[in-house]
Amino acid sequence: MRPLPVWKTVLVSAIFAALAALLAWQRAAPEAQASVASAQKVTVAFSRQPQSTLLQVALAKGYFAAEGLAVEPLILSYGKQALEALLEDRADFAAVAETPIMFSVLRGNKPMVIAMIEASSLNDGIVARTTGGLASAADLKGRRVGFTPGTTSDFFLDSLLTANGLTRSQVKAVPLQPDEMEDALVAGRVDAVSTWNYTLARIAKRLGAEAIVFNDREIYTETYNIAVRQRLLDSDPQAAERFLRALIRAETLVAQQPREAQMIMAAATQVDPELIREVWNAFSYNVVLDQTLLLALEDEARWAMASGLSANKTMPDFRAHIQRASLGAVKPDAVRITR
Amino acid sequence: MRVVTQLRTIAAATTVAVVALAAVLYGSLGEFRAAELEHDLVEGISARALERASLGDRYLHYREPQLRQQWEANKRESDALIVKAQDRFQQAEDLQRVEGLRAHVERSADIFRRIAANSDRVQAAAASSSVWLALERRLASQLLLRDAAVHDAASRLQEASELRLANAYRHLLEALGLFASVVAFATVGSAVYLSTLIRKRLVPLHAAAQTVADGDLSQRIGLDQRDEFGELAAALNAMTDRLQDHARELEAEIAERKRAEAAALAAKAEAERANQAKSRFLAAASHDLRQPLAALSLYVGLLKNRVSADGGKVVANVEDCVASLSELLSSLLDVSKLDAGVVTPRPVDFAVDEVLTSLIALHASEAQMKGLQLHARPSGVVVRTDKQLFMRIVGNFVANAVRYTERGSVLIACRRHQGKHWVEVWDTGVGIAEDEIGVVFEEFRQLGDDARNRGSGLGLAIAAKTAVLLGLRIRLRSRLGRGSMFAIELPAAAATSAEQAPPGETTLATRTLRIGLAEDNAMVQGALILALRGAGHQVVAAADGSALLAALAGRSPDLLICDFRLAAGESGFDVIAAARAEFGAELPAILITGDTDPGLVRSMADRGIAVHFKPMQIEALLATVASASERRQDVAAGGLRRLAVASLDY
Repeated sequence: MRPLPVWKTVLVSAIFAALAALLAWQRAAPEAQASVASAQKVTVAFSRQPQSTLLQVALAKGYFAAEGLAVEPLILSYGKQALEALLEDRADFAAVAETPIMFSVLRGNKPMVIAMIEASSLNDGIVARTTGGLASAADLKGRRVGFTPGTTSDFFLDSLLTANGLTRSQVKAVPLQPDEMEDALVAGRVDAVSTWNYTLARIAKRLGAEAIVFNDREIYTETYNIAVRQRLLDSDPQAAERFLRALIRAETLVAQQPREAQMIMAAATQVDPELIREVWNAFSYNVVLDQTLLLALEDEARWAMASGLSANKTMPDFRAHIQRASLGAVKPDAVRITR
Repeated sequence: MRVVTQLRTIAAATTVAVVALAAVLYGSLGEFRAAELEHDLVEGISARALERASLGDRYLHYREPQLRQQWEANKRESDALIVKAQDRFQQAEDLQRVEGLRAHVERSADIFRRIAANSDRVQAAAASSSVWLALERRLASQLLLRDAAVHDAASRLQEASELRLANAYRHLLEALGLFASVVAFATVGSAVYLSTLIRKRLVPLHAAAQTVADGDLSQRIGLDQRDEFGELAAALNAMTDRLQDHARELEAEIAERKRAEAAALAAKAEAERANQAKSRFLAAASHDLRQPLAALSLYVGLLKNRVSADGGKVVANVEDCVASLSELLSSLLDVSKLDAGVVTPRPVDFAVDEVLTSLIALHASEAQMKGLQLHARPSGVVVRTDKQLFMRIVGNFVANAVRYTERGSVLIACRRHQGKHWVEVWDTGVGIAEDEIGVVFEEFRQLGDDARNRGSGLGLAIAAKTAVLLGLRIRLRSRLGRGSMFAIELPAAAATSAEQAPPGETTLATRTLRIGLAEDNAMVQGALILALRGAGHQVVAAADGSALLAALAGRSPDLLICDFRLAAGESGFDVIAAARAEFGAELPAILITGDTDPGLVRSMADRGIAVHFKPMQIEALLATVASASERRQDVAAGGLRRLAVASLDY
């Protein structure tokens, strides 16, 4: 065969080199896009509660940045405040339990949930001082019990009382902010408080032998959820998917490296790592959308309406407040809402 | 590599591959069955979870105790299946899923039992039932969630199980496909290999072998010797080499034989030519010699009666010489006739003793003159054969015995030997050397220094030929200087009573005949006229046919005697034909000729014409004439034919 002329050889080589460069650029494109997208700033409102573990891990591990999201955390006391921040457009995403969402919907707001990030039947409890003769949940009758209205604390108190044959009217319910509960209980202003972790565990630890904790895993399952600002969802639906993708990565790490996740939580929340480990197994950190949320919302809505906590007498369609597409796009098998 | 080694290698490789793949296939099948069992387990767990959820719902609705019992029974079955699943599942992930499922089931059970307990309270405490009903609703929701969780966990396990089942099925198909492919490849490969082997190794071998089989021995098979086919080719080539060598030798041998056959044929042809030449010579010589000899004989016969006593001795010597000459010619004629195959035996029954007596009488005087004792031993045996020819054979033996015996005796006896009767002629003569016994029956073979003076050398040859003609065997025993024994086999007689030979043939008639004679040779004509008239017959003679017919003057003769070859190309047959045309076809005739052509003899016999050969014995001729005179009245062709044959045979 006759050899090609030099200029032809050079031309062919150049074409191949150009093709190779194009291919390499295309392969590198997601990273580049990621870096470009990292400029997309999103504000995420959440608390330092253990339910926010996936957010804390994703943040600490840079999973959001990897997805092109520059997350600006808006750390609040508890989830209800985070939802309020979202509804007030102070945050793009909020991590919140189902109870504030339920109340918000009953009030006519339109929060949009895109995923559950936690579920627990043991997170909520009532911690009491035994000094007053409290030995069982039934002994709460006639006692002062602190709770945070409009939160899971509120619903759990009611559920535990019901499970023990009591009604709200048979106790003296004292509204308290989570931060106030420890002092109120220690000071004796209340006999018991209905709250969640880490507050619950911290109070129990502080009271030591005087503390008694009433749990009932069979009467309530709490969920912690990601709500997203509707306008963001409309304008940039991929932002929600990227956000979820980062959380899913965190989910994997939490499942595989629970120790590391606990350390991340300790660093982020300034909570004693031992305390974090103590309550760790009470939580299930999975990014899903299943019947739990829908049932909890409906159950709680019935309770709220029956208890007069909401003027609304009609059960809202909570399905309209659950957006399945985002999670369905990144983790289809996690979407298990059958209705 | 040798073909056997190659085939063994292929077989071993195929076996190893098939066994290995069979193990893989077996493993895949096991995996598939295990996955199937796991899937069935999970399906069972899932189905029971669904049934339990249904039972829970119905219990909440109807609060019937049996639904609760059914729920518990379902739970027990489900627990048993979960335990089985924990035993069966091996992977940590699956075990984790099973454990999750079990935990959900347990929590679900706790809630259901609590619902059941609460239900009792609801029914028992009607006053505070609203609280317990509220609790029931909470619990029911939680039960629903737990059932959903159980369902989800079971679904996850089911999905994993289905995935594993699908994978196992795929593995099974892959293994099966691989197995089938390897088997197919091995089969096709083996077929291709064998086909190639046959095409490249066996077919050329077969073609070459076929070529060799078709006769081309120059064909060689050009295969290298790396395998069995090569060795077979080499062996075939070696075999072909040897075949080719053998073929060459055979060809040379065949060529040699052909040459020998050609030479033998040439020699035979030459011998036949020589024999024919001899026969022609003898025939010609007989004819040419017979003319003067016939005349000489006739004249000596006449002269013997007319000369004085002194001249009689000379005439007697001349007569002996003529007799010898005549005998020689007769012998030659006999040999010629026997060779020609024109002698037809006429078997009759006769007593052997009769022949022996005649021969004793015939040779008695000669034996007496030599001082020999000649005698025969009577046997009383009757045989059936041609008496004349038989007598000639035995007569030859007796003549030889007398001739070659100087002292002692000659004995003729009829004895049994090897179950047969033989006529044996014993003598105490000179005998025959052992190395000459085998040749004494050849023509012109004479033994002894002075044998040439004692005979023609044809006697035993004629005897042998005659014996062959009669189908009889001859034996000879002899010791040189002690004597000989010649024997002729006797055929068995058909009847015990001997049939006598026709007496008429040997008795001369005395009736006077008018004989027409056509002879162009004046000397012979004169001699014949003298002899016939001497016998009392009337002779009308002429040199040709027309002259004879003219001389006969229209009156039929009793007998015609014609020379065969007349002047001017006329034949005696022409004369006979002309005379028969004039006087009748039954007119007896005798043809005289020196020509011994067998064809002529057969032709004349067929026409009822007797033939006499020259030189004629006047007595024989007169006997024939006498016979003719006796049968003159018998004009039947058969009689004429018989006359002719009788004359010929003698």
